Amino acid sequence: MASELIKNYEKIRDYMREFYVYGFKYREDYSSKSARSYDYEKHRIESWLGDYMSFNRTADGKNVFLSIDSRDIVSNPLFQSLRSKSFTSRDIALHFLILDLLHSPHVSLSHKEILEGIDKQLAEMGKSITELCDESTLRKKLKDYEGQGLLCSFKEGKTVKYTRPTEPSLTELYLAIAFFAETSPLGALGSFILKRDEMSQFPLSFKHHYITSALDSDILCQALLAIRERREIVVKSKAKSVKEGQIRVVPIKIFSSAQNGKVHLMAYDLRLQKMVPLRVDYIKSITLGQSYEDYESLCQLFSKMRSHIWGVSMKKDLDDTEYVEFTVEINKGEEYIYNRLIREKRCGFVEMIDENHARFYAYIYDSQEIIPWVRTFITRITSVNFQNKHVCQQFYKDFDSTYKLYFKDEGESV
Amino acid sequence: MIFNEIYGVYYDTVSKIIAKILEKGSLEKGELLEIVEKYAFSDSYIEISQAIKDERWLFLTKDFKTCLKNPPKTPLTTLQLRWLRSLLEDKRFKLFVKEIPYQLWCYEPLFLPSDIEFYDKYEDSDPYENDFYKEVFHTILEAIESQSALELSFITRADKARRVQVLPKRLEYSQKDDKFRLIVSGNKDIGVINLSTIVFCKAVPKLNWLADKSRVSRTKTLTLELTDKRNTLERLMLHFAHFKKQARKTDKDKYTVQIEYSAQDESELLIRVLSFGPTVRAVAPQDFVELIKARLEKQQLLFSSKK
Repeated sequence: MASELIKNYEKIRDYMREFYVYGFKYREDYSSKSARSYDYEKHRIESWLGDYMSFNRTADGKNVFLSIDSRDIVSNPLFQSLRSKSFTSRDIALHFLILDLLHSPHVSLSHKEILEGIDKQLAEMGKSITELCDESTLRKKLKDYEGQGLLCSFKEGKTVKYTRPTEPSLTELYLAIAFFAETSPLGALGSFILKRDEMSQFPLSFKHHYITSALDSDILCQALLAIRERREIVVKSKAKSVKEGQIRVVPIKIFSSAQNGKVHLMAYDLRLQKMVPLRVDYIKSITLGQSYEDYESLCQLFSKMRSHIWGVSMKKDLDDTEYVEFTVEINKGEEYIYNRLIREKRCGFVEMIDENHARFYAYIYDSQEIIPWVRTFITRITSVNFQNKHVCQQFYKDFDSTYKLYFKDEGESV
Repeated sequence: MIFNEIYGVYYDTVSKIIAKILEKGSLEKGELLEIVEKYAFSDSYIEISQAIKDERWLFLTKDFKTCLKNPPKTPLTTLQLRWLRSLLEDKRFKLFVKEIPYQLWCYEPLFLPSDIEFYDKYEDSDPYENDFYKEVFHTILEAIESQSALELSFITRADKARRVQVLPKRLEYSQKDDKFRLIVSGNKDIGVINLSTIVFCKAVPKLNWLADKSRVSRTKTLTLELTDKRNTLERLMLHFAHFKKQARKTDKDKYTVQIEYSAQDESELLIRVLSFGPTVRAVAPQDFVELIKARLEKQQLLFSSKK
């Protein structure tokens, strides 16, 4: 049986997404992976998220899926998968022994004192420090913990002393942490605080809550660190648009969809010298590079482009936009339609052209991206006028096809 | 990084085991099982109990003796503190927290609100910085905590003020709408009230009759048939990912997806289905299908009249 702890998250990330987002595949469908690998990963996910796993047996076999109504959960269950990192017996022993010696910010000890302290602790158990580590292993662990902020150090004369940092009081913050753990980037970090402090009951729930980005936490964290530090990065991605599997970019912004949960890294491609959207769930790794000197000018470029981005598509030429326009009929008592247009117009403009008709128009980089939204006004669209004639014709053609789809059985003419 | 054993279920569970031993001076096997089942994964008991039995971790013996002297508590990492610091920049933060711990100000934010954009959220967000809105928000939170009732007035869709007494249950947030709604019981006509429509709000003692009545929205199942052209399968599964759902492959590029939804969200779901165009067809429930057909017919007439 496979251990429920794992060393590498990347492999299971794909499985989790498959089970949660799709959930219709059978064991045989995972052709790129071996059947044994599938069984191991399925078993692990069951162990982490058993309460949310469902099975469906059909003539073709059994399929496994994660079925979660996000309105019923206070905490994203996918965060649990991030808490499955494997460790060695030495790792866990040093963790508990060191933090026990440095149990309060009022206690500070040198490396030598910690070594002696551990030796003393283990002697009580009839064991010796030689079973655990040598001096340099301890030094490495202390350095690692200092880097992560679990410990801090200061000099007393010539001796470096380690201590535990003073923690801010969280008593008044738990509800905020619970809220932002679900709504803010890298919410996993907040959820770990709540787990540590055993805080779980909150009068909160979430609608339209997309939880899959939890699986991309480490990628997103690297991207945000790079944005804060204004660094170039090398992105390894499985997206078809990324030639040779990797791309050198300067990250500008994270674009997150509240309507489908997709997250994109908006970045400047240093080779092609243009802005590109990179889907975060396709990114396999991000390596931070040197800081990018002219970061501000890229931000300004993006800011100018922003008023023409409907979804995430961008063009190399700032002014290479397409005009899109449609009008809708608004009858008396249907003012909510006008309000909808105003509320949902993004970078577009809305105006009443007469008492009963409103016009939406915009100049955007990709007309195709706006089509799904235009379709939501079906029943009241009086005209669609796109500069991109192909997209415009496709809209009408699609409407005819949709109509036929629903009326074909009734033999009605279209 | 975030995928790190220090945040892991095992470290956390071992902390609870040690704390229990220090509190009681010993531990029964049944108590170990109880702790592991509560805090760890479903297979963890086998792994953790074996590690203790083998005395693999050195600080804990097989008969639950430990050399540790203090209940373990892993300090917050810099990454966690920087995450907390980032929250201070969010205008919703003050809805939840009246006094910000000053120590957090000394950390670098992990991100700023300007680093992330929800590009398709609606523009009429709740007025988070409005004093009256904040006051209402705090009154509601206090009422939920003290299990008091609320007397409130809100503006209905018909633009009329309505005064009610309700029991506040919880706050529901939608990222898409960027709005909070109050979920209530105690009134058979009202289940949800948008916070931004509340014009008066006061906590009042809970009355017994309030608890009995609550509006329960019916759950319905929508069945969609889709053809996986233009990447519809991925788009649809992501789009509806937040629902409880089940998908089945029926033919080479054909799929059936069943989605459980609340009847009160039907209009919203209707336009979301229409947004996919001809690659997605609703086949059940019949009343849902009829609503789509009515919209298509009306649209067809509009287009025909233009030809």
